Amino acid sequence: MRKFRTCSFVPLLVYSLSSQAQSLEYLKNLSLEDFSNLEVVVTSLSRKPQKLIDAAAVYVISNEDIQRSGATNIPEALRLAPGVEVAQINASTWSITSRGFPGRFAKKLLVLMDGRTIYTPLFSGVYWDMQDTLFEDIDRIEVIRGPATAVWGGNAMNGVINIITKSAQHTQGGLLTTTLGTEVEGQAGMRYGGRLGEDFFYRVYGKYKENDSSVDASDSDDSFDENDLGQMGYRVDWKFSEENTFIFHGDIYNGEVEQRQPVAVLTPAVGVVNEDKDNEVSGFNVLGLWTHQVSEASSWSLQAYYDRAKRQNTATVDIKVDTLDIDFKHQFTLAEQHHIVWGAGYRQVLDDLSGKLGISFTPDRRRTHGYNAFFHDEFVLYPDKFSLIVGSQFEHNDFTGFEIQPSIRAKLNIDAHSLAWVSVSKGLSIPDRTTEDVRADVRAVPGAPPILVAFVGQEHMDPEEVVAYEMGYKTFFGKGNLFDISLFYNEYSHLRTNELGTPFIEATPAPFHVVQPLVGGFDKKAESYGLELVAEWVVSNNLTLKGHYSYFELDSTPASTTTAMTPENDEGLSPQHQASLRTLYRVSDAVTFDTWLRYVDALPSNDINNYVDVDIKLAWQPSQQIEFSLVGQNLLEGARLEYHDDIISKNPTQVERGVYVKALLRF
Amino acid sequence: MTSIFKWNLKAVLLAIGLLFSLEVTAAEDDKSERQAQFMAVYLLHFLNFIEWPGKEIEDRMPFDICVLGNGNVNPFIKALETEKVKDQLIRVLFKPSAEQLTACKIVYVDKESIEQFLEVEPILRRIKIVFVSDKSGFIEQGGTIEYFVENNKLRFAINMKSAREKELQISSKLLIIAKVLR
Repeated sequence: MRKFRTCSFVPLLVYSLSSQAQSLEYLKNLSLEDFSNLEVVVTSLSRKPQKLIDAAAVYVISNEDIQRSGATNIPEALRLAPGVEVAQINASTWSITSRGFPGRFAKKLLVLMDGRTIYTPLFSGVYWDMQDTLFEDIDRIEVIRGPATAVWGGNAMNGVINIITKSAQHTQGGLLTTTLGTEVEGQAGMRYGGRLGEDFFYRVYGKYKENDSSVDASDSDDSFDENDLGQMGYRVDWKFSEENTFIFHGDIYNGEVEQRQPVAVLTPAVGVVNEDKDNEVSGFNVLGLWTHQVSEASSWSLQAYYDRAKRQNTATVDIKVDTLDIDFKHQFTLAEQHHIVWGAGYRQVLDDLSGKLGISFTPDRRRTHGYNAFFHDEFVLYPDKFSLIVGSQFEHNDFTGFEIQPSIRAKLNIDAHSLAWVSVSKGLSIPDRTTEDVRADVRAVPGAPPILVAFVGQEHMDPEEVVAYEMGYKTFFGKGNLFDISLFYNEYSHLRTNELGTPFIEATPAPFHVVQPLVGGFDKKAESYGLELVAEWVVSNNLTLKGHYSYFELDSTPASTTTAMTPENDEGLSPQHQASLRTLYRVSDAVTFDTWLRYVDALPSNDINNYVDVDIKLAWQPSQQIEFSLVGQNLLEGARLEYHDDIISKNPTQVERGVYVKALLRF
Repeated sequence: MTSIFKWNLKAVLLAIGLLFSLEVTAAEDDKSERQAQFMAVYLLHFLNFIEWPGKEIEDRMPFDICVLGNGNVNPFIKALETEKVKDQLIRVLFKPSAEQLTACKIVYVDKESIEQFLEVEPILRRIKIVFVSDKSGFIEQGGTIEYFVENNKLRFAINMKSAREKELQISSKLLIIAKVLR
């Protein structure tokens, strides 16, 4: 079971890197809305209210970062964080992970939006083409690298991405945006925020976007992956009394995604063919959060949400998932030395996975239940100086039963602006419907009889496990400069491999054929290590530089008895070096010019070359109400292969250079 | 993990630690400095989103911001003089005379100078001046706008009764983010 922790109750982060280093010049030029949204304290590490994890490898992507980067979707924005591996597979799919184990079906990263998990229980990963919101209303994206399972539970094994939107109070007034371009063919957004009574704020928004297809790497023709998505939603922030606040929000969306899916077939010819389908994606969600302040040192919150996600008219499996989740959390201070947070939750997932060509789930409908409890105690040994943080998650899930995921951290506040930390934590990745209940034909080999190679799920498998040793240091100095370094060493065990099972004969579908099953092996071990660096330098009132670099290495050790074909493949699936440098330059009061240079190392297992590319954004804000911008993305290369996943398509597709113009109006 | 890598990391970390332990000097009360910046910048928005009566007579006059007291907001308020609001220049007057005071659009009252404010407030009550301060309880003492910090955001409360008496027109843009006291 994957856990949510909402951030409105226990801010995950003590300090937000957002909007640090704002010169008076800069502040004066912000719209009233943006200005009123800024945090007063940004660089103090000792800020209360309580934080759950600051002694960790955490990076915050602020709204300003997103706006000035020119990113047009959430995956692109995630490239702003250090150590996150983002590779675009085609116009609608991405491989996103942190600290290794990437892929379209990457599953070691937990992704939350306003307290709601957005993974699919099908494979515990994320359908990124179904996740969106109005970018202007995103407050920040918090990215934690390394296990955060003690707080968030299984599948926060390699990290957590937490997308947090602004409160309705801070999105008052109207907003219209429109974008036209070559890759982002069109985007239109609107929002209106208003107020009913002294402490009751609301907003409603709508957004529509259309993305152009990528190109087929083999013949440079358009691939079959155009997509569009329309979405609407609301949010209410209501301070009912001094002690009680309520937040309600919800979204509804609907879109069409072209999908070219390779399917193993026996007729008319034995082999793999591409099946083209217009996937219909749709869904909605509603969430309520009640926070009650008991006293200055104690508060609790109760959150419940319901989420439905559907993908229909697919080539291989139609998906409908209903999730109901209820969580309670209580934080208090004990004897001034213990900052304690504990909580408990329940989640029920009902899915309907109707297999079509080459894929089936048994059973096709399944209801799973998960229960969890966690505690987190920050034991302050020397006030404002040194504390120990111990915590653990206890959960029961339908796949592996009862699991414990503890962590211990030590935090040293060197001074008000610098912090050093070390941690040891254990994380798990719990099996899911795909590991347990699937039969998926992936290859059809001609012969007499022909052979079908198929993934076959098994019950009673162990979760994948990591023990992570981490340390880090971060400091703020001068007028908003930041330096942050994190080092990690991870030991994985029970990693999944696809072992050759015992072949068997099958009569249907005709013709008569042999099935070579690929069954889960859980004996692979691996070690990974690396570092992530962040440096941000406010050069002058008009110029800020933001850079990050990460180094990553993975050594896999498959079991000696393994029959898997490429058991060490994952060693070469992650870039060893990644770097990013942004310059944020204010040319004049009304004009900004920003560049973003990225380097991503080669992926040898995937035959992907390293690349350097650059995005540029020029923005003109003639008044606080209007902004025009011109953005070029991936300008150095006409088209590029970033990742290739042959489960997605036989023919790899290339990401193209893109240019767009955007207009924004506030009223 | 290779030991060379381990040692390199250690060396890098140590070097960096040293570098920054030298680099990080006690940054004095950044918090209140930033808050001071914010309080100054809000004055611009107040000039922008409040309409004073009888504007037409004064059209060619600069907007005067007067300051009572000697707080760390002063340099930031001074820096507003390069700005134009509604096409008019801004002039900042520290220690204004009584006559200058009556011509001010906004009077910023430093926390420490609240006594001075209390002396002049009864006399200037009906004059179209917006009194702004971060002194807690300022509004109850006759102030127009009071800053406060909530959830790490700088917010402000508006005394609508006083604003009405002064015939000020406050834009809904301001009211919507303000705490309004009727």
